[in-house]
Amino acid sequence: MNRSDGSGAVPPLADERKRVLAAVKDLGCELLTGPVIFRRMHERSTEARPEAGPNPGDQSLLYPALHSLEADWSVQATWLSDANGIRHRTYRKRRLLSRRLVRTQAS
Amino acid sequence: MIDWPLAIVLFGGGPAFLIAAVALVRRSERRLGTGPDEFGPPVTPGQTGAVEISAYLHRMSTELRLPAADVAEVRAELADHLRDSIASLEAEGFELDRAIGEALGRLGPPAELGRQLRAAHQSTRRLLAGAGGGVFAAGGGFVLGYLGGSVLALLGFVAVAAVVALLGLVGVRLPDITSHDDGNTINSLLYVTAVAVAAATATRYAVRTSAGLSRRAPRTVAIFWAVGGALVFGWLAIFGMRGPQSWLSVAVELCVPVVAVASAFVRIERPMPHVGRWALIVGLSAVAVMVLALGLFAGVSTSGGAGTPQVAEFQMSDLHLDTVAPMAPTTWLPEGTITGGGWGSDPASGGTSVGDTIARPLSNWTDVRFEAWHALPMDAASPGGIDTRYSAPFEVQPGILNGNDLTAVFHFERLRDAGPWWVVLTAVGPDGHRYRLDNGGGGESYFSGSAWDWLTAPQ
Repeated sequence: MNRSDGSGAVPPLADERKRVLAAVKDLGCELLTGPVIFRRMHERSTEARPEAGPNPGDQSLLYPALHSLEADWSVQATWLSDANGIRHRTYRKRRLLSRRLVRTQAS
Repeated sequence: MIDWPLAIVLFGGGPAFLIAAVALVRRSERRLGTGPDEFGPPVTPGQTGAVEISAYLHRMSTELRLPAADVAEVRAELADHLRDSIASLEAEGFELDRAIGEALGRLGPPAELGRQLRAAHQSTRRLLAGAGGGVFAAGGGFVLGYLGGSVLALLGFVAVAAVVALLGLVGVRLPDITSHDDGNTINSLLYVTAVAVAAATATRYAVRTSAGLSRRAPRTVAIFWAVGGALVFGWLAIFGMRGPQSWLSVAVELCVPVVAVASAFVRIERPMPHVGRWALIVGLSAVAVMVLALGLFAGVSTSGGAGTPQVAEFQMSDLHLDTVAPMAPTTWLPEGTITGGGWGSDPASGGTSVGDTIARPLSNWTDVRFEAWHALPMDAASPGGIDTRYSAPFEVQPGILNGNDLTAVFHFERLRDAGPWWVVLTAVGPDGHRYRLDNGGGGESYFSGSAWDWLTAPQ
């Protein structure tokens, strides 16, 4: 595993899953790409422990964590096209009820 | 009287089950192949760092071993991530070459990333869903395959019959493999063709459904379904299916395990041909035309006959019963000793039960037995009787006395070529010679059993 902090320790996937899920929850119902989720994870880490946050360069477990959360039905992935027609894979926390129904109930 | 619950289950549940199975297969299959240009190439040739990114994705993909749609999605997502990452690094002041190297390095070694992503996709939950879905799809596939195989077999039969008829018109006579077997060869071939197609369809449905649901490449799950299909359908074809048999059908039945294995592997990545609207219309039209043609043919055959056949009168000597043994002298077997007899199906064993009613004890007679002889077919032109080409019975059973009834059970249905038979009651008289005690009766029986029964049947 490539770790640029030189410690050689590999963060277990379970920890990465927790961090990813927390970041996705933070951002609510928004549809987020992998890089956006990773930036939010980094922000959360530096907010909590500014002196010992995870190396911002290590993204080796980001996608395995996202995909395993999707396999467990914790997050939902959707492909969206941007204005230039480029497709991005986005994630959001999976809901039991559809978004429209949730909005109706809230109103 | 209509059994409504059964009717609802058959006509409502059956189609619902088939529709659900096909829907499950189609839904699962989506993961096994990408539609045209659904994702496109993840890296375009002119793109920044195209060579390095392509090499990285290629190395990562070799470890993925996921269905094609998942591989395409993962590659597209990582390519998008790398584009974003390189742009961010350049914005931070990295030179392009360093930005590309750093972006790739942050994702880790490609092989390790591929392994991690594969593990993430192939969860235990998905594996269980794949196994369950595969069994369900196999059930639906078997029923659909059986129906489709039956139609195919019938169409094939009509085509072969037409070819044989055409060849007959131009003077080419083919050997008649169906004579004197009561249609067993044709029936058994139709039956086994349907089962072989059903086994192939079921195995293929199972592989593709379980691969899609469990997110595994079809070839990685095919081995399990091939073994399972070969065992289950092989057992069914060789030991489970009971009915008419012939050497041709037994040969096909022995191939059913091979058919199951082949259908699990051969071109398994290719989508299965799905029955579209036009295929359904053409198929149903073909069946309708075939049924009409057969009906017409049957009508012509009936009306074109020579009317009521002339029934010839026969003498007792025409039965050639003396071939078996001479009739017992009345001094040793007074009239009225045997008052009746006949044969019928034995409900306990499925064999043929023969019996005679004995009014007086058969004193002075030993080795009382029923002898089954090959016989001539019974029709308007012939009363049947012993086939004089044979000099010995093909099966002998001792008579078992139960009260006044002397009985025995024959299993003609387990003989490959019993055909027409005649059963005679014989015994050894006081002079040590065998005599006929009763003239008995005849019938026709054809093999009914499994392929294994056929292979192990006595000659």
